Amino acid sequence: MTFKSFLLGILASFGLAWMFVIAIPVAKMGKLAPVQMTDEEDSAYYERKISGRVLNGAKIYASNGCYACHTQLIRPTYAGHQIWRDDMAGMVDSEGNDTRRETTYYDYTGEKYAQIGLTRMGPDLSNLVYRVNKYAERTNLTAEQWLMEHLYNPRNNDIRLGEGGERLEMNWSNCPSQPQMFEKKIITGQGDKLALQKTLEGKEIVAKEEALVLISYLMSFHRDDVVPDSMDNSPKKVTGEDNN
Amino acid sequence: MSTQSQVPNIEDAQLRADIDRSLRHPVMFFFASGAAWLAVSLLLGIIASTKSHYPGFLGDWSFLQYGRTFPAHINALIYGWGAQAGFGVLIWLMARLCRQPSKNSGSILVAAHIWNLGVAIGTIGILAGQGTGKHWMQFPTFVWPVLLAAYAVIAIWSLIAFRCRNNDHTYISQWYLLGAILWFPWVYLTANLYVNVFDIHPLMAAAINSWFRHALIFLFFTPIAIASAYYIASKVCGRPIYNYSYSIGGFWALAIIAPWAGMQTMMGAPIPMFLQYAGSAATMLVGVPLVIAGVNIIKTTSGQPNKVANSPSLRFSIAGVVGMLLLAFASVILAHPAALKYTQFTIAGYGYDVLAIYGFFSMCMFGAIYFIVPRLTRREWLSSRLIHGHFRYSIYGVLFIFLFCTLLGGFQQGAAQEDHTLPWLQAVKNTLPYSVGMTVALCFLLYANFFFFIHLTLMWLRLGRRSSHPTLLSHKHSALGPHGPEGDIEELETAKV
Repeated sequence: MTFKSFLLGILASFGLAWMFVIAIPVAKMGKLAPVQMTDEEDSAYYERKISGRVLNGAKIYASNGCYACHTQLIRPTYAGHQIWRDDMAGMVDSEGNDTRRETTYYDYTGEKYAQIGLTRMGPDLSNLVYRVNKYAERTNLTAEQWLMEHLYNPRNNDIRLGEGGERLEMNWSNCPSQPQMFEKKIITGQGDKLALQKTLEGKEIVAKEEALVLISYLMSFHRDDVVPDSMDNSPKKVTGEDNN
Repeated sequence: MSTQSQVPNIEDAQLRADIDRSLRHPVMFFFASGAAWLAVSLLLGIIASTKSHYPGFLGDWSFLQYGRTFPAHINALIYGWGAQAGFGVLIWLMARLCRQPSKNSGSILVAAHIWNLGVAIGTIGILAGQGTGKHWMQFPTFVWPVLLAAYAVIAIWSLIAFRCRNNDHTYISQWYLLGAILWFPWVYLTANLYVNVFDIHPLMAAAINSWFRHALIFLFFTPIAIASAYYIASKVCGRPIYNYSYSIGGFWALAIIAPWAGMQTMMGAPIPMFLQYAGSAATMLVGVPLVIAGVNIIKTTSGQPNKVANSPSLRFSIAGVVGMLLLAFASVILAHPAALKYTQFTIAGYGYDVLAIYGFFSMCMFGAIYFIVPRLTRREWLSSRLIHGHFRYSIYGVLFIFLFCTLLGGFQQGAAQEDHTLPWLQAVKNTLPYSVGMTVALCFLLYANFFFFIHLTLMWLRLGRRSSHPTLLSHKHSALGPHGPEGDIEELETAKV
């Protein structure tokens, strides 16, 4: 084997894979055609609406390593069954409305990097907002305030109430608390309306910009909007909930 | 291989000594700073791992949070230790096999310092909350061009040495090293350009990140480790490779299969189906070149169990080759779509990475370092007991990680996640014992590398034994050894008087 034939071999073997795994898929995913909601000719085109400071929040999410323990992916049933898990892929309300669906390639609109996540030491966050709303309602906080309390101390039993208002034991959580996103402030007047319930040495604890943008990003996690028929493989269309 | 070891003559010995002297400073710098980074990385790993089952550990310091120490641990392991150990072995082995003393050790040494500076800034950046959140690429974005430029200065001379080599025969290790030299910039540049520079679909950026991790393992760490193991095996045993054409076949199998691997970690994500399954198939198939090389190397040493047991270089290399076979096994098990259902988002991924980087690559690098350092410093290793300790605790750590973290832990955690009727708490509970096991394993590894780092530093300071007898693992230092008295020459002299 000469050096020249070696080089050609490397170029061919690596180049081929590089074309098919990197270059072509990137080009194709870069210009996806818009999708119509139904098969009918005049149906509307699907548009993923995003809200909140996604880009800034995603940066905080990344630099604090949230992706190491939380995923943002509801896999189709060929790859996993989390779509059936309560509140993870969407909601089933008392009237039988079912919003559960898999993640689509539009769900990361507005982000630079899809934080699929490494492990599920913690639960998937694709539809975090539903869980936040649920707990916030039970504790008479706004969703944002509840998230602040949670980020400050994930093992806070006061903000975890069950359906009947009973306290849920949260000491098992291994989620890191994020005190660096908060600062102590001297209470003036009636105090900051965004301050945490807890005070420290007579001072109130107030979220910094970091926490606010992260919360804004987290509040965008309700990835269960209605998607075009052609992209919707969710089980509700085909089978009932019991057929899994 | 044959000529230089079988027909020793003075000119050859002189040439080898010249090569060793020419590369002494950069190679020793790579090894010593690499070993220091390994210790730093393992320390960060222990902090991260402890926090995963005991979140209050070390308080609430933001820079010691799990979400920062874990990426800092991985990146220090990859770029601080892995890449530097790889560079050291690569440039030394290439120079020896091309029979060319290096004329550029100065520029390599400067580049090595720049590389270290880059890794240090990157690691501090991650801890300070400037990480990019892209696994194995968490260093702040401005670091990667610095590392790439330093790499170019380090590796280009080996490429040139190969072009101007002084012998016609090309040993298999050279092809592997050449592959690593060419693949690294291509892989590293592709990943960083697509993920950090070009504005591409966020999902493809994540997919390319998974591809990058596997490409770095299979196309940079693996070829260097295999090259080193082939060299050590036939050098220490004094015989040619068991089957040379298999070794060439193994190389090309790796070159053809490995670039496709990686995107199976995106299984179920809305990227083209083809990418997910091609990645899965390729990762499973990578087992083939790994097994070819592994069997070939082990066969080369067959019938010489004493040498495997006694020579630290060979013992570590063979342990690394066994690690490679375990990695091949783990690739087949874990990359299978049916298993990914369970293991995709579990600690199995981390276990797989550690098995590849430590159980396979690092063990081969330790073997090479135990071989190379005495030749560079012209001193023998001080103590077989330190080497023993290093070996034993490394094995404990790797076995712990492989059994508990990669296999059992991954499936236990995944099974609870998959069963959607169980509360989430069950998945956390299932993982707990394995997280604790991982911390224990990392403690073993840190303990092992404490021995190694101290030993290597003493050698770097040229405090090694001045003896003509290599340090073997079999017999203790005693005046009754078959070669006469061993130990420091000065001590022996004074004892005589």
